[in-house]
Amino acid sequence: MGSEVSVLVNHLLCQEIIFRAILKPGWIDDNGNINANAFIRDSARHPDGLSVNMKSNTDVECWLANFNKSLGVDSLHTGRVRNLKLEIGQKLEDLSSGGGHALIVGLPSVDEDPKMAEDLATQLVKMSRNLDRKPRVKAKAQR
Amino acid sequence: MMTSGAVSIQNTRPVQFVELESTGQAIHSKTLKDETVPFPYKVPPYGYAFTRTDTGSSHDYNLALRSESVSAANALTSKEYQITRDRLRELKQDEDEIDRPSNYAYDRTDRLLRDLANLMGMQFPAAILATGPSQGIRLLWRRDARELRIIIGGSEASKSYLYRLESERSQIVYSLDPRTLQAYLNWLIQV
Repeated sequence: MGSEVSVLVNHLLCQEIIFRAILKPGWIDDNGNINANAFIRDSARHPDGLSVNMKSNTDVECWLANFNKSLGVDSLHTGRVRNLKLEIGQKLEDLSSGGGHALIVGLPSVDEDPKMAEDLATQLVKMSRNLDRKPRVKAKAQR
Repeated sequence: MMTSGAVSIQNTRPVQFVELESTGQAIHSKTLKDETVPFPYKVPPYGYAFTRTDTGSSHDYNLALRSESVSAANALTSKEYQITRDRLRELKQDEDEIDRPSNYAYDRTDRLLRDLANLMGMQFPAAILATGPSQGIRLLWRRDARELRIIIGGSEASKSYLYRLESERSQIVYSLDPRTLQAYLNWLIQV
């Protein structure tokens, strides 16, 4: 698998709730439900894993303000994600920044194992819960 | 763009032929009673819609115009095809350059959609589109417990495939010829 558990220095507790930001229109269906596109890892851009944030350490508004544009948030239960034989944790820089950023590690890339990548995306969609569908756009910096 | 040929209209009742803007606003309309609509017409970028004047009901048919004679069976394509094409164009205009699909993925998807529209006509269902890994394109359809995903790799070196899901059973298919995809889309919509 392309992403390695060894990059993690802090493994999240099973009861931790994690957030996945919806950053593209194609990550949700016409009825607003998250779809598999949101859980496919681009191994070139995200070699370590799929980005999520810890609920216990995240102010949703501040977190989403970092993105140019977002369309909402879904939540997942760490223990249930771990049941898929995936790992969820933080890298050293995540831990030191204190921003609540974490990674889902163990998702293969679509070039490595397309069926496994798609099946796992299917399972992550099933366990996701719609938390917020508020579109947000980053304010332009004033000169 | 001008084209020539003829389109057979199966419905012998008068139909209103409406040229649409991208917003859905009518540019102009014309009532036709003939069974055959002659060309040439000026081809707009967003197709045509038909409205039955006898009942007043709008079918929002979009007419895919082609450079030679076509039959009504494949001349009429669904509005959902236009929605899908619009979504494809929007991917190319993503404000983040890195989130735009590669030219390879875009052109291949564009061709595939046109081929599918030719085969499926009014049955073509709207897809959700997103840019995938390596600037590929992911198309997704969902109906109840059935789901179909077509993944076009960002380059020839990347994998392109179809993923089919029903309840807990899934399958990967690497043949992406239009006839195969049509069969899978028919499976999806015949729930």
